[in-house]
Amino acid sequence: MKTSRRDFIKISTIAALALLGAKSYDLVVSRRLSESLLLEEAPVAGVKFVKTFGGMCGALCGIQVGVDGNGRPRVVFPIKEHPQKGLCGRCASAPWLWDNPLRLKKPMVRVGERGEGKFREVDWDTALNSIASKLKEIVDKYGYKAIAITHHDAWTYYMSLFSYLFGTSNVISHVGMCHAAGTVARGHVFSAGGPPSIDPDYENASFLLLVSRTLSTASMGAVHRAMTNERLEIVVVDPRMPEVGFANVKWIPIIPGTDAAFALSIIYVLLEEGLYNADFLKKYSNAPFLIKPDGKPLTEADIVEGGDARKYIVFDAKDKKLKDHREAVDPDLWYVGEATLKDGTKIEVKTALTLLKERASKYKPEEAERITGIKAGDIRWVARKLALKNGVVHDTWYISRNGNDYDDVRALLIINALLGNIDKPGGLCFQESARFPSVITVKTVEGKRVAETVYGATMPEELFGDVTQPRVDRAKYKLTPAQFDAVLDAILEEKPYPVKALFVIGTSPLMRDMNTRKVIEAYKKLELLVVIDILPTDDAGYADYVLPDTIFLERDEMTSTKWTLHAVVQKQSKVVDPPEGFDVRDALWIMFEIARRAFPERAKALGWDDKYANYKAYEEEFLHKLDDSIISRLAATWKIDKEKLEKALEEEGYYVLKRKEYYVRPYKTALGTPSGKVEIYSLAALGAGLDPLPDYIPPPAYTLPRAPNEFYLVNGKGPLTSVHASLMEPMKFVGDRSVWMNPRDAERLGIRDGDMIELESIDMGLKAMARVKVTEGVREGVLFTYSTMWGRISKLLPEGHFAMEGINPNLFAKGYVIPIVGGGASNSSVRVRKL
Amino acid sequence: MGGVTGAPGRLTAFIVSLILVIIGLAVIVYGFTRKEVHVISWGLLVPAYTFFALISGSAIILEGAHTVLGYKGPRGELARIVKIGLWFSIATAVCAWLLIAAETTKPWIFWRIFTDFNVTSRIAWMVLLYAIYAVIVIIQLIVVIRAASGSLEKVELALAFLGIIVAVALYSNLAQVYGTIAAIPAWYGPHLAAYFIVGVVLLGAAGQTLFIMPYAWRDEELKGFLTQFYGRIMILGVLILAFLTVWNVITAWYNPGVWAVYSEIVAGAYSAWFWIIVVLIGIIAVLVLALYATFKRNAPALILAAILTLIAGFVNLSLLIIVSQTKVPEVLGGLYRLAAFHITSWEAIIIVGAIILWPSLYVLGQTLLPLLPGEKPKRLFIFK
Amino acid sequence: MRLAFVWDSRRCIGCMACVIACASANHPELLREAKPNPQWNWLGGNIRVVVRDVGGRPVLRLVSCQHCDNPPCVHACPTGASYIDERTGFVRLDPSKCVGCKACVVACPYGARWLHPVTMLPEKCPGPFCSEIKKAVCAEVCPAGARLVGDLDDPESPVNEVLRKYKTERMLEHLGTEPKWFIITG
Repeated sequence: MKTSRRDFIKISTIAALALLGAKSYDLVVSRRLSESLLLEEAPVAGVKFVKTFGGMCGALCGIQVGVDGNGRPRVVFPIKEHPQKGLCGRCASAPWLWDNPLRLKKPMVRVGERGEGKFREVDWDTALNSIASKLKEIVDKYGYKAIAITHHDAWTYYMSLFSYLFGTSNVISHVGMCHAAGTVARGHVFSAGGPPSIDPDYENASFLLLVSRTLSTASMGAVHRAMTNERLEIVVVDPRMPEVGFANVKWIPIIPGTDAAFALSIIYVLLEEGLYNADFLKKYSNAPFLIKPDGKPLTEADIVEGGDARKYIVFDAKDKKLKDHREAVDPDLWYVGEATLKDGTKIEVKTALTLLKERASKYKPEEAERITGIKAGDIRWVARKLALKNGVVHDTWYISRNGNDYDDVRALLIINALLGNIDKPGGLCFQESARFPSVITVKTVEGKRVAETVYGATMPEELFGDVTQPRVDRAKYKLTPAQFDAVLDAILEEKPYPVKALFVIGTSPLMRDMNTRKVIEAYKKLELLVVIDILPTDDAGYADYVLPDTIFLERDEMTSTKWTLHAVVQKQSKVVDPPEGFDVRDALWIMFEIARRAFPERAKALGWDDKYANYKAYEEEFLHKLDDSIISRLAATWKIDKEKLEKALEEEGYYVLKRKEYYVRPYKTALGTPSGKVEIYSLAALGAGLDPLPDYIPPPAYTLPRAPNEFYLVNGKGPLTSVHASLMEPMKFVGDRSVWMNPRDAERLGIRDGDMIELESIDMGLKAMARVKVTEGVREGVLFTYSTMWGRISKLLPEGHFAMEGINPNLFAKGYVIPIVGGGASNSSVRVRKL
Repeated sequence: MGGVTGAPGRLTAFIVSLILVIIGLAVIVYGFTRKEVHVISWGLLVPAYTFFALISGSAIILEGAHTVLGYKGPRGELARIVKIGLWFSIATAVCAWLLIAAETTKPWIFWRIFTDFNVTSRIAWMVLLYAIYAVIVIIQLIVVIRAASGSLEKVELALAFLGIIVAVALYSNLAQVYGTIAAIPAWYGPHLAAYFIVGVVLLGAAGQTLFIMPYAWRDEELKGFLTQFYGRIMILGVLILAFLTVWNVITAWYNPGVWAVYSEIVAGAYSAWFWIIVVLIGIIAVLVLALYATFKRNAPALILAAILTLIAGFVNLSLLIIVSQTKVPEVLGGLYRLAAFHITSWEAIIIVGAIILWPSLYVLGQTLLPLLPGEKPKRLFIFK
Repeated sequence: MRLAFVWDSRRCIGCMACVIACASANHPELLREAKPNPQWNWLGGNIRVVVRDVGGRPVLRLVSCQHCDNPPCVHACPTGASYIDERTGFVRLDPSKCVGCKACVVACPYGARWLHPVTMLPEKCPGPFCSEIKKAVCAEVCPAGARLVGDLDDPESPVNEVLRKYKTERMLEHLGTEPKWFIITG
């Protein structure tokens, strides 16, 4: 193992194992008599632990990796004191990843047809030069905006840098197939962002309702906080029992795509039975806002000449007057009455809460039972529990399911607003921001815009290229955080403009995005497809160039800790070098080197010196500068000693910048919503042309199953879900490649556990085969399978690889995108035939 | 037959059997080197071992009838086959031991069982009892051979009693190797002891028929006697076996864990083996043939019955030992841990080796020792 | 010392971290084997997973050596290769005494032993790595705080604390094996 920068610290003296933490015990005194056949077994005493964070998924939990005397990652432990400690089956599989025979070892260029899987290994220069010249050709013809980059969690921090590096705004993540709808909803109700920006305070909560949220999927820190909270009662509402259901959790099966009806029914019960937090709603939400018959809020501009359109009017019960919500002493939550407009006309106004109740009244528990399949009594029970135990409803995560998910999340968030359990211990809390510096920010210097990197390089506006052009997905779905389907449209239909080159970095649109056939068609139409990854994904099989990336164990990185309410920064430390014979490079280096060859002025402006072509120089100088700048920035921002921060990151793997401070938003700090308050009646949605209140519509993403052999095909994630981890050997045994079927359905169709069935998509006409698992873990009329794991088609995988078994549910997903919001939908409906 | 002195026939037999013994051993060793872990912990070699072990107990037939009960046959026929019968037991036991040794992964440290004897282990007792039993049978053989030149009846009687007691303990213990394993309900309990002791008599009679009868083939009187002698034992044995089989199936029905296995045997994946081989061939056909042979003094019919008994016995033991391991209760009630059984090539090779070894070792002994009816000790020093 | 395992079924979310970590830590030599554990058709590790529908929903059990006080495997072993280690109370294997008769594998009602495909030794918990580091990898990695190991003989040990506080059960207790592996059920 060659040594590198700071190895002497990293593969360090950290802890003889016996010192590693509590609960140490004298397991066995005698050394096992080693059998002669166990030649490879290293002396265990030589195991050294390196603190880092887990890159097997995007959760990035705090882990320490034990490397044995042979320099091989042997075991992964949590960092005991880490605010997001822990690991699940994915990180536990990391020892299989490092020198895995499947790992991409050298750059490869396609020699056969796209998808044929025929490649030739080439050296880095050859690969990078040919990519660069092709890229230049494309840019000359179509402009920078013809380049798109898609990614998942790996290298996310650098994506905005890549945007400037390649002069394109089209850096479009996986989010459209994950939490897009939820993120838009979070923005509308709480002006919050992606999933961890608000999160239940698991360690103090007493009742947690998880609707279409597994909890067992990622973020073992959250799992630890929830599971070790002895007071916490958990209810899961899901068509299938997620793994968290194995714990002491009540699981309520629901008909797929009806979450909004369930949530609205809860809202109804809370309002009807007076189980809402009136005080909170009056002070911190727009519940008392008066809404005009046209759905718009009554503002000062409506009633006073020259009035302020941002002064929302409420009825003050104290003096029975209409006034600005900020001035009212006792805003009436239920006011229904007349308001006189400035032109003298009288209109009827109602409070937002009244309108919400009217909406929710469509879903009285008995009616909701008919829609959701959940007993009216259970709905009332959940609603009362939430109110009486001061509960919290999870804000959801992976939600791109049925095409009506935006309303699901909004309704769930509104329940939290009604309970008033916001930013309080045990409630739905805003995460403290780590104020982690962006890798690139745009500044105005002497009247001219420049992009400045965290390490001090600046790019003048003239070099921005198409960075300021609208992204293809936002052109189509104006609120979307990201929707890759629009990139496919831009490739296939060349609208609003053609996309010709695509970089796929550490992700797999073929597994990730709905309508797999469409992805393949788009791939075939591209002029350049570059896949940068660590394993032969299905997408790699279609690429023109496949470039081998480093794995998380082989690099340093810094990030804010994701799944904690505290502001925490954490460090990934290089645990091992790539194994002998693996000529792999950081995607960061790869992207810079492509840019240096294609658009040298861009790379130079962003601080890329020619000498970094030498990988060692990149590792030792560029990365060092980058890390150092980030630490300096953080130290300056938080006014802490830089060396102290650096030392903590090296030795502990993390540093807590600020502990969670409760009762801040919306109490002391106004929210970023139009009203500055929690919006149960979303003015932002209204402004975007959406219904300001959530409603239930039957899933628009697929034809509903009707015949006895027709089923919903729902998918979900579990603690093993990962495009990469699912190729590791443990998954051959532990990974569930089956399609779940309820025993009563199985009996009706004469299907037994382990039988093979054929699934035929009702909408797409496609067929696939899978093995059935007969289990009570899924609702009647519903089939379940894990997403983004199975049904691989890559020709780069060895023949008969286990990951080819099972189905990729996205194959059947029609490709429905929620208008405006831009969330995708991966569920579908299928016909089943026993083979 | 009956070449008493160093005739060329005997030398040829010696050389051929010695070569076959070496081949048999070599095949067993070869099979052992190809050994792999299979899903069922106790694979086919275990029923094969049990099969040979039961046959090797056949000495008790002779000890019981000839020595203890003093039944020598109307013309002393039984006395004439005692020596060869005892040797048959020894040769068979050697096959059994080799099979079980080949089933273990480190047979070369078998001695550990004596030095680190675990009193609660049935297997440890098995090894000890088998060693004692072998010593008794060998002494018996020596005594019987020497008795040909002088009366040692009291010693013989004492040895026979001892032999029977040890054998009963041995086969009860063998049954309890399985019977003490609560993890496998189909084995658990004392019922297998009866099964195994009947097995010793039935399979032993069949084995002796097959291996001793050829030496009596030209001696019509002896042949006729042996046909009726073994025929009667087999009739009785098969009737008891039939009773025990029915009894086992019935008792199995009352215990869900046992029935999980027996339902596979009686009505599931293994039912063809059970109904055709065990019931139709092993019980009905054998009973008919044995009755016919006994009353008609028809030796070929008895030979056929013996062959069928051995085949059915092996299948029966395999069902009992293997199938019971394919479906065992899981830690969550009502659920079973399933394991698929496949015959592996290495097991098949070892069994072939044992099948080569069995008759060749038997013949080899017969060429070296004065075992045949009427043969006097003169070749070897210890018998002088 | 009588070390016992405690597994909190109320907390376990079936994330498989313990199952997989046990294999990678204790049997790295089987990392790339096609059939690392042919007997269980499973990883080369000491923890099995059992799931069964009970009362209308799937129930999970993680199964490994129960370290019985009255262990059938130890009783069945002809040479004492399987034994109770007096220092820890754990059921252990001394490979130098093991003749490979597999009686322990057959006798274990928990199916907690498996034959190593290369050495053919009957493997079980605790594996060599855990033995060496004197820690149970499964308990170390558990993200849900669902695993605990401690001394039953020490009244102050966390295990005894947990046993006093919660309702626990042991698997297949009716067989009289007296397992030192407790499941918190309520």
